[in-house]
Amino acid sequence: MQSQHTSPQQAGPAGPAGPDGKGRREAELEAEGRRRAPWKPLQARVAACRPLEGGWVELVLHAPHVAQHARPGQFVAIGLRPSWPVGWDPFLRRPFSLFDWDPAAGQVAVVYRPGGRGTAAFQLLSEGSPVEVLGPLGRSFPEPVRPGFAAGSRLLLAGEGHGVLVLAAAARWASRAGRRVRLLAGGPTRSAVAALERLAQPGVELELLTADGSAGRPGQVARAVEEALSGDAPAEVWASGPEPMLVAVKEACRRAGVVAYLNVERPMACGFGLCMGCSVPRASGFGYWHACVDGPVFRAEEVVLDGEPSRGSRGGCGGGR
Amino acid sequence: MANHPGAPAAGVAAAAEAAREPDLTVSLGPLTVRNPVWVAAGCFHYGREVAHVLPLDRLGAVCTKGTAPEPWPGNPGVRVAETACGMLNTIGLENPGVEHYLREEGPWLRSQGATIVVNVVGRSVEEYVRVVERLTPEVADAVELNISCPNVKEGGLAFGTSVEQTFRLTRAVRRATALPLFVKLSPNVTRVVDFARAVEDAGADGVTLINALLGMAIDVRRCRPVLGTVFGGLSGPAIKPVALRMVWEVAGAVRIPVVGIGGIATAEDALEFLMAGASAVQIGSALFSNPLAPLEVLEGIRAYLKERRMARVTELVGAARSAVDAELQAGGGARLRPGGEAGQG
Repeated sequence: MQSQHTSPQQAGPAGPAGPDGKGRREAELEAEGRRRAPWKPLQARVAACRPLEGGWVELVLHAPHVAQHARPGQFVAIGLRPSWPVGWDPFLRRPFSLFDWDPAAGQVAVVYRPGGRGTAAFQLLSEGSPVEVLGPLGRSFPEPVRPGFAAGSRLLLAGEGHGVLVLAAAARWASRAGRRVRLLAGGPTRSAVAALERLAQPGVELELLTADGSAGRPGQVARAVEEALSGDAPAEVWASGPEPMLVAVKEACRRAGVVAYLNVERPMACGFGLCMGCSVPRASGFGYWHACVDGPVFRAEEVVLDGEPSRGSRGGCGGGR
Repeated sequence: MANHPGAPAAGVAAAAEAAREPDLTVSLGPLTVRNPVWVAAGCFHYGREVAHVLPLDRLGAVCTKGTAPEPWPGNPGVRVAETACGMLNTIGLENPGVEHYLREEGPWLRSQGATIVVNVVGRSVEEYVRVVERLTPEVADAVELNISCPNVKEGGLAFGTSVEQTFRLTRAVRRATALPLFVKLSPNVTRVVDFARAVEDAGADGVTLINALLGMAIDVRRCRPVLGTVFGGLSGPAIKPVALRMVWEVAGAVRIPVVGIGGIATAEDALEFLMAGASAVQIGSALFSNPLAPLEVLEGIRAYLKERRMARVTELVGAARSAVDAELQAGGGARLRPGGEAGQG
């Protein structure tokens, strides 16, 4: 399947009008290309279920609406109800970063590794199984070529674990748009790197790192980002992975004065702006962003990540125990 | 078929079919709504994110996010966790405040043709009153007081677990607004009927129940509670039997209408609540996994009525009670009320 970039879309949801100029921010994000899509609830079918190395599974779905509107960084929420006889458990859908999609075939691919109560149920799926899909959800990475980021300028992508999945799509996209793309992919060990055998692609310089050296060179992705920034630095960094890695990449980029975009994941109940569960503290201004509609792709300086020192006082009301 | 000479007869048949369309209108005291299927506060925000797939003018009513006098940021840390057949949340009533509501969300909801029930939160009686005094018929068709949020101390259970405070707050708000007034009760009490009676005595037009049940989950890999606030509110199908029992109790104890909520995800769930005595129902966390659930529930209720040739949805309200009442009156119904009223008497 070949990812393809689609043209700018009409507005989907009516969009938030926040207490703090969210409408203005919306316009800025649109201009930058960090876009949302007109998401829909869809009945989809499993087109293929392919085991990958390390216990990962690629799930290919026939979901034309998502395939036609997807942009790298966006995700889908997949549920098994009511088409699957599992009663009310698991109750919530599961969010998955879009790994690949083909508008012509109407197919999208996500990759997961069975583990939790949700993905355990996903193991029951096989070709032809019905699933429920909401998507595409969330905000994409910015347009690869845009003011300040010309074709030919270098883009460093840094991912760990399942965080590499969203970057694989971003790498293809940016490379095709003319950016010079390098993808650092890693994790603690070989099996922790999602879709390892599917990360190499034309036009993308791929480098693997694992903490134990079981794949690629021994090392950590965040450290490799620091090294890359200390020499002839890329124009920008897009990162996706565990929070401590994002914190380290953010700090390295801040010190080097390099623009960074982060794919920030949070537990979410809905994925489309109803529940307010996926809160990410704002770096300035009042309260929280929500990863599902304001992200999951944020500029590093917009957010306070877990493990970062929070900025002093935050409006003091409504706090629980 | 349409061009056949017999077309006029088909038209008559269509008219007859239309005549058999059941009346879904329900009146709850001074509030009349187009149907009994509402969306619940805190599970819909203000509807903007979903209105392109779920037309708000098809809903019985939209209960807004709990709205305070000023913006509230909500709780830090992990806010949601899935549990068996349900979920825990500790959002902490994150909301943009009533002034923002008046400027942006209220007019927008009105433009969508929604029937608007503004859910109100505060940290004191004065704060609730401050919000309610700002609400006019232009941006609110009714008010629902949230005195039962399990995730904030003030404005939450502090009011909702004291009968006296519940009465005092409801009375103060009643004096501050002419809008239809509902009060949303907590299940985290010993005798929910006492709270429903307090609300009725204080002049509320209706009572909504239940809010989420207090619960928690522990991440055994990290050996610590999952939620940032340790405890949170349990919702979803897991709580439906508890909610249904409480609605049954309250509907038998007060004269004001009851709005039932708690784990409703299908038409059958909604029918159970109506038959228990609820005049309307609210769909909450089911929206998260199925944003079209309200329309499916509505169509299911409509189909049920047509199948049984019932003319009005109001015929269902409390329908399951009559069987029990008849048996009780016949004197053979001791087994039907274990422990008496509220199961605790």
